[in-house]
Amino acid sequence: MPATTGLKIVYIIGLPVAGFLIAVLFLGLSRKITARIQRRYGPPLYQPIIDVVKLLTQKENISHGLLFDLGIVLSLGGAVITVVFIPAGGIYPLSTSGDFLVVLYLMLLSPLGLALAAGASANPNASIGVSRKFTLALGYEVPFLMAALAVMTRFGTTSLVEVVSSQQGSVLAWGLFVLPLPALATFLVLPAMLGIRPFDFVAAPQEIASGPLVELGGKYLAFAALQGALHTYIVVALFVDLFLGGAANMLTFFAKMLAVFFVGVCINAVLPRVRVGQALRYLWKWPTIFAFAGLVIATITRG
Amino acid sequence: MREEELSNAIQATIESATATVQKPGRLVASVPKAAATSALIFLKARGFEHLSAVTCTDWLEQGEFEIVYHLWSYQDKIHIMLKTRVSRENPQMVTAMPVFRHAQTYEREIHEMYGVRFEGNPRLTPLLLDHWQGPPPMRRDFDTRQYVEETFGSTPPAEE
Amino acid sequence: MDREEILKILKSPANWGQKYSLWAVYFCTGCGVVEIPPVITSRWDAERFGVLPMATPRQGNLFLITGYVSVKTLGAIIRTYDQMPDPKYVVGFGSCPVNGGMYWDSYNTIKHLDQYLPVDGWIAGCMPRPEAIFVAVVHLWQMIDKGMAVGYKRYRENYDYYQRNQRAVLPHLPKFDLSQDALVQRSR
Repeated sequence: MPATTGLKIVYIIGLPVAGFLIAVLFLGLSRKITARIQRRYGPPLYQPIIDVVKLLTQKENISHGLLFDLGIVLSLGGAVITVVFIPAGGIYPLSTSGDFLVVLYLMLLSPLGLALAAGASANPNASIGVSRKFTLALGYEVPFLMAALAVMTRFGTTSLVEVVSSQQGSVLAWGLFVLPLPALATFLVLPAMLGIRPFDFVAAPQEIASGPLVELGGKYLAFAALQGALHTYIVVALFVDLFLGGAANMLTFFAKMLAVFFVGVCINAVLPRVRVGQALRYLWKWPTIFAFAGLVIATITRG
Repeated sequence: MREEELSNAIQATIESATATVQKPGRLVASVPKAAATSALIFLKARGFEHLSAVTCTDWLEQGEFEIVYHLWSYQDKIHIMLKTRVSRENPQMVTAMPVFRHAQTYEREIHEMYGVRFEGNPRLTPLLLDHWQGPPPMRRDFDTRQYVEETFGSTPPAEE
Repeated sequence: MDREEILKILKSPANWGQKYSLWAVYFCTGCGVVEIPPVITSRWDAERFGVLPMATPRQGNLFLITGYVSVKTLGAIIRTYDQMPDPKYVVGFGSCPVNGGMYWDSYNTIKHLDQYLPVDGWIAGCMPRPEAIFVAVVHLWQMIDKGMAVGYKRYRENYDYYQRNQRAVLPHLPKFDLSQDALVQRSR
């Protein structure tokens, strides 16, 4: 619903806070659910809070220069700003036409910031991790952008708010049923966008000593972890808004996000890690075919 | 049987060699130092294609190092220990690399641990020890306990 | 979570964080590391204690020296320990770091780990069982609460002593000057 300026400011400040809370809850939930799937008890749900408190209260924070610090700040800042642009329930303080394109652009700020920091840390493991990250991004951006184009064509708008409101009414108006092929394509690349198994080779602890995060400790790691959690929030919220009808209030929105996230955690707990070449071959085959077919169908039915 | 055949052949072909059959599938042969390489070539041609290891024993009282080549024959399923003796003062030996390339690492270890120089081995650099300054540690006249006391500090003996 | 717990958390959130989130550097020092995979997998789940294995020393704050420490490994351990940010805890695992253990008369292993690194606690055994590791973790929590787990401070204050001992067995280790460490920004 359109809001007065005062309410908008409240939303602009409150939405990232809500995003942080949901993101941290998702972090804890993922560890707990993974533990239960692996038939053990796992840490308490508030364990990510303990981890972040530990990282922020560390007495030494080892920095590698100004670019290192700025990269981390850029990465977290980019994620926070992206959160404000994605409609969450009935809250969309900064909606304009074209804000979908703005979101797609802002989503690239976080990996860029992390790449800056990783480059400044001068560790070969970090460079390998960054190259893997950008290769993976190349892999999932192709089908995802085609699916996004299909959504924009079908609903005739580049504003996320209008995409959400076009899906209100009945369940059959959801993007899932109106655009089944792009929805299927996005669902197939969702693990790649979230950075979970089978596509978690970016920060592979066993192979490249945590990739871009290898030189991050103390508060830098806290910021990187928060950025990762916010990225999960952004991707899941985007999926809910594009294909699951968004929501009219925060509670329904959170419930839908929880459902998508739960499916992601189950996939992460069960599947192994694939190699970079295998990932690209997978991402550029069926998801791209489905997304392209969906885009063609959307263009034809629109006209 | 094959072992007897081989032991007789070794004694006949290589001069001053002795060969005995320990049990079925096990041969022990002793050759002088100068005949070691020809013995290896002879055995390799007879089917002993696999060099399992090269080891060294320190005969302190006799003043000699004994270099032992462990060879295995896939076709006869026989293991032979080929022993040679090297003097303890200025110990040196010809390398077995022309016959078995991978003897390089075993000879490297023997050089580090016993101090035996292998002529022709291009890589007699330290393998396991880190910036070792003392005498070769596997020699029997190297007092480990005294070295440990000096370098790492003493450990009080366990109470009986 | 009773009132005492909550009061403790409010008094010192740093202690609460350090205690319940001990990230162990996954450095497989010696043969004792064979006990670590059972501890971090499903049967003896260490994640419920907050203990996770970390691939890089920059992210770890617990260093388990598992098993014997040969002289070559000691160099790597010292370099890893120096990279970890404060506060960091070292636990000697098994009887070899304590007094040389099974290798008490070996020319190539060090006998007393606390001559070279500040050790906060020892776990006896050859190898200790996973239950012993959990007892040690709980003990470390109590030490952190009382402010007794200050090995990292001892290292800084007595760096000359440790450096002398380290260079005695590893003469080629480069000299560090802890006061001039440009990489480290201390936020106290």
